[in-house]
Amino acid sequence: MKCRNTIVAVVLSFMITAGLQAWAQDDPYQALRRYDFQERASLAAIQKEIVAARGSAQRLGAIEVKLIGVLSDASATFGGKQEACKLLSSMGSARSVPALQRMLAGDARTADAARYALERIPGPEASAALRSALSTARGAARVGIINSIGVRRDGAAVTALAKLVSSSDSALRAAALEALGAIGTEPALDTLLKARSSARRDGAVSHALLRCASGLARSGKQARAQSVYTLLVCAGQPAYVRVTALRGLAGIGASNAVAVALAGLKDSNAYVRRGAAQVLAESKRADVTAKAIAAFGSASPEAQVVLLTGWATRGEPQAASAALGALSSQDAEVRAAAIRAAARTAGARAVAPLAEIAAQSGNDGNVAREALAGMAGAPTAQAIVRLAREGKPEVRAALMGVLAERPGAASLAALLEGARAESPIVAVAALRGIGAVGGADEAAPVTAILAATTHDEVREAAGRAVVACAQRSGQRDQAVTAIVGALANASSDARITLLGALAEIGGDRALEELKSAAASADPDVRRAAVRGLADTWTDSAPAPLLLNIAQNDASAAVRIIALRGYIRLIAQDGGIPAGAKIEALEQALRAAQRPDEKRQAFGALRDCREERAASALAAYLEDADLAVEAAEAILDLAAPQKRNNRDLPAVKGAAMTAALDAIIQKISDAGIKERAQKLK
Amino acid sequence: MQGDNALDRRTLLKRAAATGAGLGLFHIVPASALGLGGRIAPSNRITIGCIGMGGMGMGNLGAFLGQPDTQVVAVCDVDRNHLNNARAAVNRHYGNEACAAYADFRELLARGDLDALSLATPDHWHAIPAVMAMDAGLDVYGEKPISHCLAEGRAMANAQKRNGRIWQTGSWQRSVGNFRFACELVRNGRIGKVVRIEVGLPTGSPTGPVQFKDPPPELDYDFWVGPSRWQPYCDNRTHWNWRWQLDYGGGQLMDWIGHHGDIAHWGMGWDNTGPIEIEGTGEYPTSGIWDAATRYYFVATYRGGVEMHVANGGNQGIRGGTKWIGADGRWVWVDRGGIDANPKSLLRERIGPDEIQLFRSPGHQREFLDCVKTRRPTTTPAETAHRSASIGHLGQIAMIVGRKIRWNPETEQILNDAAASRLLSTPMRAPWRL
Repeated sequence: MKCRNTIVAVVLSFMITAGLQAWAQDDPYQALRRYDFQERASLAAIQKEIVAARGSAQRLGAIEVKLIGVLSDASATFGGKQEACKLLSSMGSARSVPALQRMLAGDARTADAARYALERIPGPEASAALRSALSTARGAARVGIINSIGVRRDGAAVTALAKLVSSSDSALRAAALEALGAIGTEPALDTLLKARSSARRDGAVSHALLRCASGLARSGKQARAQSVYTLLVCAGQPAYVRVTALRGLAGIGASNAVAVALAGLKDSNAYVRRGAAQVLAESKRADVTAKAIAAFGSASPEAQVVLLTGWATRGEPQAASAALGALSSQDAEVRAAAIRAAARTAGARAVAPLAEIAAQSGNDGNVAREALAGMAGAPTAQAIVRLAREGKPEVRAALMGVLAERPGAASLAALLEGARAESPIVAVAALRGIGAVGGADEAAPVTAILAATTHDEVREAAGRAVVACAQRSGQRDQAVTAIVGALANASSDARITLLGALAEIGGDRALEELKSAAASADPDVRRAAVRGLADTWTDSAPAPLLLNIAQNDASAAVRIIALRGYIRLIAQDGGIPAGAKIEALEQALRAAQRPDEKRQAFGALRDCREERAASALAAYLEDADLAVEAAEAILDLAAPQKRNNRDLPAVKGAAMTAALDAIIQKISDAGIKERAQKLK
Repeated sequence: MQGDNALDRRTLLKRAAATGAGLGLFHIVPASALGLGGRIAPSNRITIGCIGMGGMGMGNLGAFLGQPDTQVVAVCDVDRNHLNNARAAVNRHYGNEACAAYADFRELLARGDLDALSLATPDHWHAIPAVMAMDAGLDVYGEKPISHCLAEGRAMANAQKRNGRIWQTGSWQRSVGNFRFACELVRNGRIGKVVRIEVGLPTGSPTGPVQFKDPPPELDYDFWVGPSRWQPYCDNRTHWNWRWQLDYGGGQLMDWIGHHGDIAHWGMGWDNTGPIEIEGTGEYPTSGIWDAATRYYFVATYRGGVEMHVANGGNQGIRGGTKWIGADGRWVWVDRGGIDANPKSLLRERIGPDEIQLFRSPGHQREFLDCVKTRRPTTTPAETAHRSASIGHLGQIAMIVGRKIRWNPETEQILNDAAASRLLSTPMRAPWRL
């Protein structure tokens, strides 16, 4: 019987222990007690409970009690307590305060954890707990408590904080001053003013006063705020305090703000001058702006920059004359600011003076062109177009670039008119602009200009423009039609440019025209056509023609251009099978008269990963000028290569072995021989 | 110029650093003499200090070193290796040994000769140095997302406005042509009335179990943790990987919302506003140290009913990048290196001077420097960056509380949800404060 009872007791004990263990494992509050800074399943579970309990004081209360239990459990980890405090910070009530208050008396970390919750828990109990702890806590914990009182703006703490303002502990004193500033009530202000009377030039007090004044202003006590700001705006305070105080005065619309700001424009300190100018420039009141404009002429350059920039930012029309007048300032920064301000404040009146500046090189010209490009309004647009048509050539040229930045039919029309101008600088600038913004419709008139002009630079600019128009619009046919139409009657110079444009534009029709021109009796035209095909064309369609020219043209120079173009087109055409490509390159090698073109072909052969390429190269191993390059190309073929993110295989086989043997036999360079030997 | 403001800033800063106080109470005299173009004497350049010399910090440093009118005079990092690397890069560039190096950013800010700050710390270390710098009169180029929580973003935007400072966020996509053009198309009605926006961001990943250990000797780990909750050191905790941990970053969501979410706002002209409702779900790893959502999807609804769908790439069929969809099916999509539209002809459109033309940037860092001189607000001021980050922060809150939240973008309050409202700010570890 006794034995049976013992067994039952053991079994029961085991069951209870196992049950407790299971409970402890499942219960997130138990797990929280063991929290190790990384297993957060318990936190997630409790947070889920909190979310689910929303609206139920009873359920939230139950959770809170359990979390308080964690705080009160001596065996709970610091991590667990810290997380419990965080959870309580989001849902704790006065019920949690006693446990948290006890933690305030602990070490700094524990006090920090408790404050995390107390700072967020609303109600007088939490505030009282912090105030109470103020007298007992020490060191960083005490500073933290003062900080939390400041965050909570606890007006009831002013008396206690006042005692700390005279503390010899600078950290405590600084914290108390800031907390008083944050509290921002009249008693807090009185305390700070008393502190100031004993430490007039103490930046900590000034800072707290500024903060306090801000709080007073927010709560409708403008007069007291003004008295503080007025106190701090005077000379003797640090520049940053004075400027912030001035901004405070302006922010509450204080009667003395404008006078102080105007006086600040003449201050000996540049920081104050800028700050004063900023305040004046930010004011939208007409009377303030008028006074600032009156003071503008005598203001320092840095203050003028700030005033002009502020007026520009809000497009202040009153400031137009000041801005226009400042365009001739001796100070480069003032001039730049004046240009921007004139553009934003003076409307069409600014166009002529800004256009004059835009015609200059250097920073002023750049700023003026940018400013003109962004000027809004129909009168302004009309003024720009008018000057672009009627101004002196330098101004017209500058405005062509401006018009290109101003989309619209009027701009395009003025650009086309400019492109026809007699002045080459105007025409070139206009054509550059058309190239930047023109479409298919501009191709024909630009081509006509190209064909008609006698100026080389205009012709070249027109050529670039027509290509750009065709490419941007994607409508090549329109441009090609225009060019082909112009070719027949064009001068030799024009035909050369037109053919170059055709090559850049591309397409079947362009190719036919170029082929036809390549047979021209006019050597210059023939050469231009060949160059277009050889240097610019993008597929291998003209390759046979180029090879023929390379083999047969009377001009050696044309033959070279054609051959180089042929090799280029063959090499870059990925659609040609390697065998055919090698054959084509062998033809090129046969046609080549000079080592340069043969080397170019060698380079192309390196990408033809077939034995025949090696054989073709081996034929040059006895050529004194080319043997080394040929050998290097063979070695390149014999080893795997990586080019342009492509893996190229090594070429193997009898022909390659023969080529490597030939290198060993015929090349004197020991290094090359050795590499060939290794690759065999 | 320092004589004008010869207050006891250095003393105060040193004292603050020694006591661990969070705020350096000092003034800075910006080196205000600025030149224009050409070779500019070092004494007339914009003087820059750099805090945070990891990957982004070094990238930004390189950009600033490349500008003729800047002089990087100091660098700062809590990792000695990063610090030495940065200092060597600066000295190599200028061919001297003049660059100062600091482990404590408060000492850098206390130098007294800085005009501007380049800030590329982890997210949890953005707000404090940024506000300190702006309160002390410095202009700031700061990395995105601007903030680690909504309250910090608001504080930074307020600090910029209060002090009249220049702020440029590292949301550099606004300085790239295809993003600007996409936004101009949307702004100028080329796709008609926008009814839906899709923002596709990268997908996150968890870690396996980690071994906690002592931090390496070159790293001041406690300073690195700074205002955030303390967690033990381990590999994958700090450099670069901080962003996958909610105590220090915000996962891929927050890492990218300041880019593609920012572009979505730019296209809509929503630089100073935000959604009114947010609802969504996220999947959070329950083991390992990375706890930010790896998969996420939320919908932010704006006034007028426009919905912004934010998801990790591919989730809900949302493509990476930013896509605006019009009521009649026309759309514009943009991402790094790509732009597309329906119809395609939209891509050939040109924006005229009488239309909305967005700022044509001379380069993101260059624009910042120009604005330092002229005081013109940058393309990405703190308010704008705060609003861009707000999309992500609100999405995070909605995913955590598991319900739709309603948001007033004017007052920046969550409506009728006290529990969710508590998540708008993040308490700071002592002695740090904002």
